[in-house]
Amino acid sequence: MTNALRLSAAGSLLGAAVAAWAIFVHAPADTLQGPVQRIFYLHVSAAIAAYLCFGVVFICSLAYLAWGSLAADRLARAAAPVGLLMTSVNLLMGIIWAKPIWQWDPSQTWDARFTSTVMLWAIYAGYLLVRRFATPGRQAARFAAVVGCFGFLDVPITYFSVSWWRTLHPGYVLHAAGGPALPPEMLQSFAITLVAVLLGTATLVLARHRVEALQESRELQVERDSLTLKAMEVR
Amino acid sequence: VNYLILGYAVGVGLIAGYALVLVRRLRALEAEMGQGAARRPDE
Repeated sequence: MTNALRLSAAGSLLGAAVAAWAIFVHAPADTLQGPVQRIFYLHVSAAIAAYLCFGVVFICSLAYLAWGSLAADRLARAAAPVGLLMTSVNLLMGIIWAKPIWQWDPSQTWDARFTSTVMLWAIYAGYLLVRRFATPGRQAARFAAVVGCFGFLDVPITYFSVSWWRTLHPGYVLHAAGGPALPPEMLQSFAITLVAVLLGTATLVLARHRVEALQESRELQVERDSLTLKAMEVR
Repeated sequence: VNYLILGYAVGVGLIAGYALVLVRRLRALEAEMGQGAARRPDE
């Protein structure tokens, strides 16, 4: 493990501890929803982290398609699974939060935010499947880059879904008209959690990037070794 | 409270689980590359 990765991991653990204090001690309990409202902090932070990861995939996919940059392709490969992980966290925590508050059953009541987020999840799961099952090399990278570019279109759709379709999911809380619709302690707790989640996400992307780089070197080494062996056999 | 605990168990569990899988894979790859590099000069 590199020193940057170790430092980033230590910072993430510290951030997680401070975020736990902010969520469970510093933030006041919601008078209407009770303790379950505290799910909000990680639920929303995970969504923002996922959008940023998909933004990285989008920019790197464009860079790969435009200039064939292998470094950009590697970064896209590292950011996509972490974005998918954060979308899963966001989705599952949202379902768990909605159950006691609205007695919500996703199979019975249609919700625009839920549907668009499930679509986002499916698009990036598809991105990873393309990576895994397309013919390895440039072709897989090109197919995945196309999915990475078009898939990003669902991010603004997901974000604006609460204002375009007025369904069950609450409207904007942080970007509400007239400023954030949260008391200061809740806003501070959210800011702390967001920083911690973004730090953790960056650490995961860094670690995944290192795994991808090591796998590339291993494949290259195996190829080089087999060529050397063949050359020796010919001699 | 039960839903709060369930929510955080699922959310934090997923992130921590993925982090652990990544660390194990990273260590295994680093060990493999280290062994490969150590073996190659003798050959």
